[in-house]
Amino acid sequence: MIAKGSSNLMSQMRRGAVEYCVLALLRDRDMYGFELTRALSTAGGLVASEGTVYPLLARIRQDGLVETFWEASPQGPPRRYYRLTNDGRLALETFRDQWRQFRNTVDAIMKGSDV
Amino acid sequence: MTTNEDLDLIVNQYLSRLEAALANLPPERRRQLIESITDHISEARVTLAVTSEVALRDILDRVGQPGDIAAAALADEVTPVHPQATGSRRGIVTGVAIAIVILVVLGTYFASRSNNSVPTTTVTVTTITTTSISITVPNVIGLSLKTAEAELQSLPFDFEVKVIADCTSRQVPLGVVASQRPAAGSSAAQGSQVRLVVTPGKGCP
Repeated sequence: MIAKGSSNLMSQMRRGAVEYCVLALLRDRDMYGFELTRALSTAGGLVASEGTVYPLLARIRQDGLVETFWEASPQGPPRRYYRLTNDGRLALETFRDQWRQFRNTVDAIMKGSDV
Repeated sequence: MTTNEDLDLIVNQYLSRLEAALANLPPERRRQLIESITDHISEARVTLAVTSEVALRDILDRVGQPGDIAAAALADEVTPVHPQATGSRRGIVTGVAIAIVILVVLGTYFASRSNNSVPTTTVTVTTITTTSISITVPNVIGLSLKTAEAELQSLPFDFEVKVIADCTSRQVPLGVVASQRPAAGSSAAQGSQVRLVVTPGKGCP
């Protein structure tokens, strides 16, 4: 039922959207785990905590949307960088279009209803 | 003065709690995740030049509660790793199915919207069973959406119902189910959806 699952729905939606936010952050440059997760947590309201992003990173890597490589750090241990693949870029573009339409439609319907 | 050894100890305690929380994850996934989070903490300590316990605790707070990380990790295990379906896995599958249905329905909506300018409404009721038994789909054409939903929910299965507004045909009275898929009398397998098209009520242009 809708009422029962509404908080669950929000977490499902957030989970779906975060994946594409990661792809969007990687669109212009490669990032390592700490800076990527910090960027997401600083954005606010998107992720429960920085640690919860890592399972997602592992999954989109497995799905071939991102790939990783190690690079030496000027300070401290080597960093695992995440880089967008062609598939990832395509997935991001597709989502951007769908998201725009989805958002506009939901907004329009919400505005028109009595809720 | 907090020494680096003191800080290491706090980090190790945190990682032990994390490892315990991730006990249900496949070993390889658990190892990778702990490695990533260990690197994250090391990186944060270097980048932020952490020398105090307060600053370290702040980093660990931002990494999050081990239980939350474990929940996120299990939720991302969409492809079943263990053959036995647990309650939480079923929930995840249901959630994913709902998300797919929403996307499919919205996709249909956008397609129909771009092809014709007549405003109409489609409401989709998703039914997801949690057993492998098939159900016979009842006839709900001509019923109000509310009655149709009640009818679908009265079946001896665990239903998830989602209603998505969309705009298609105004040929039958308002708020009434105009068509359904699968058709009445056919059987619906586990995880399948019953799709209802209703005429527009409020919310359509």
